[in-house]
Amino acid sequence: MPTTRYLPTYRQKEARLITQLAQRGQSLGFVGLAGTGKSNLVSFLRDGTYLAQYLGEETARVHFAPVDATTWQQTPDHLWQLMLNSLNKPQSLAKLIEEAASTSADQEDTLNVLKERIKFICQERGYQLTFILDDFDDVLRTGPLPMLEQLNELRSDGNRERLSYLVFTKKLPHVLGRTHQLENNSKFYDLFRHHVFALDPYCDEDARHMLDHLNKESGKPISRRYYGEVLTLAGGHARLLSVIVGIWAQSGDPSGDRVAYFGAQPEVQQECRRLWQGLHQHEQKVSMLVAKGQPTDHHKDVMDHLLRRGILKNIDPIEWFSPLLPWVLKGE
Amino acid sequence: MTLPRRVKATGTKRIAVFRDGRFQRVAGTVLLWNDSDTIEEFDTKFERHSFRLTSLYINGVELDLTVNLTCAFDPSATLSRDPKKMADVFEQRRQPVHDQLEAEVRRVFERQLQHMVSQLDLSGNATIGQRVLPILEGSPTRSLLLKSLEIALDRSLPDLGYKLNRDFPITFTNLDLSPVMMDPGNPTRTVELIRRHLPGLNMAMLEDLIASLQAGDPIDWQDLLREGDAAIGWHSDADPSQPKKAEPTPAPSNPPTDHRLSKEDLSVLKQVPEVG
Repeated sequence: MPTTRYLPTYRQKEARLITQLAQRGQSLGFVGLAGTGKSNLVSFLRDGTYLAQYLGEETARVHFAPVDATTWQQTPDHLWQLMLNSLNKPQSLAKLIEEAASTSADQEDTLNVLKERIKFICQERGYQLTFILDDFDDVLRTGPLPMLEQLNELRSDGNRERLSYLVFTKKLPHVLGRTHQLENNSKFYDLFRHHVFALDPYCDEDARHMLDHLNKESGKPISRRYYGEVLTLAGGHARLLSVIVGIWAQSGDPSGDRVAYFGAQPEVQQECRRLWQGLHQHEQKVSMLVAKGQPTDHHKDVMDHLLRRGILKNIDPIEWFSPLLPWVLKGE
Repeated sequence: MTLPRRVKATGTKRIAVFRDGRFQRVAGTVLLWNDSDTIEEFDTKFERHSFRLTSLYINGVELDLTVNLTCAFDPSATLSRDPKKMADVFEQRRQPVHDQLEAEVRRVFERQLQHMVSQLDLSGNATIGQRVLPILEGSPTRSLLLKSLEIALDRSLPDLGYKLNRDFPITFTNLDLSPVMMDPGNPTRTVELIRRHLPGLNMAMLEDLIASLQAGDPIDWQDLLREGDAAIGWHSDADPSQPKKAEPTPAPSNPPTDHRLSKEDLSVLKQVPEVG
């Protein structure tokens, strides 16, 4: 029997928090390592199959519209276009949008069309709408500030209790937006500045389920007796898990030191580098020193932060989320 | 009779048509009648570019830095469809686009920098921090330099067919002073150089810096210069960018980089509350 991609309790902590805030029209941000499953969480929210357990009777009233900012063409108009397109993604909203389009006059200005659609959804229908701003690093970094502030204005335009944002980034939002002093000048950042959370790697239950799913799809399943080892190697990191399953299916059971074996695989090294390169430079530097056993007392604050980030599982003694990352970093 | 071949560009793309290697026109859709007609597709959308400028000299100090800017290649717009200028741009556009742009950014940057440096009254015993001040975060000269660079590029890039997007500010990142601070293969000399150039560094920072230099890690030179000059006063009278009687400008508490995360930065991230 095929395994579904997600458990009903998939990312339970995060899903509960997101749905609670979405119901109240409050915004939040998640900062997650590259490859840690941000896009999976976005798909889970967009799919909506398991959201009823959190939203109850409100399920039909709460809508998530995912915006993939990796395709953003660096103009304000294109951001409005992406947001407008995102309203067609959940089927429930797409029907509504069709209706809104047929009743409204033609508008050439994308921002005005977007405003009108939001007004229709939030004010006329009384729905809660959360834009999921996925991979928003470049948008925050590049700005310009008036474009970001427009996101707050959309909310102030009579949609205060209804419209919210769920912002996914790899780095801290206010550091990304430092060129335009996001933390001092931005009402958009004010919407979620007190709700910036770390997106940890998967908990054991989610990682095990994901492994089951990948394993069944791989054609050459890993014996269950190795599950423990595979899960330790991947440390709940979605893409590392997928890479390890792929290598295992291709090469069979590796004997000997499995950390050294997988750590030497180009795909694993590439994934670890990608993860490391997605960190702030200060995080990169300290994680490299920790991997090489050279941290000093004045790195403690950053190490605590890496603990909250989910890169380290423990500080004394040092324990990484996956033994593969320090192995690869040591070789750099 | 052979039917013409129809080629259509999509989205922000356009097609340049050449006959026997000579530029003819730019269009969205073209009909190609014979084999001597060739085409080149290009995209007119704005993109962010980063140019690493190495071996720059500022007041005698060698450094590397990255200039970031947003522009688009759209000669029809920048050259008002002038056929001769368009032909010049397309026929000379044989070298890689990035190289051509980089050469222009470097040329304009060096000219603006030279002009700025010539107006500063730098004392003979100025520290390295004071020497590179024109490009450091928080320095008023840096803002002026960015502004003058923007104005100069806005004027010069159209001749190459590029349109600068001034909605997206030009920025400098990844300043690197390793060439001045490091003597590869001679750790003692490296320590000497760092101590001479950054007299205010405490021992922990010095050790940290040496380890990072040896490991080739990214270094926040901006912060180190500030710390390193602390012993003699970052905004001392020798500071070339400050009028002598002006109120001292406080150094920004958070330089706009992610090289060094402050305690406040590190306190932003929270853990998701446990269920139940």
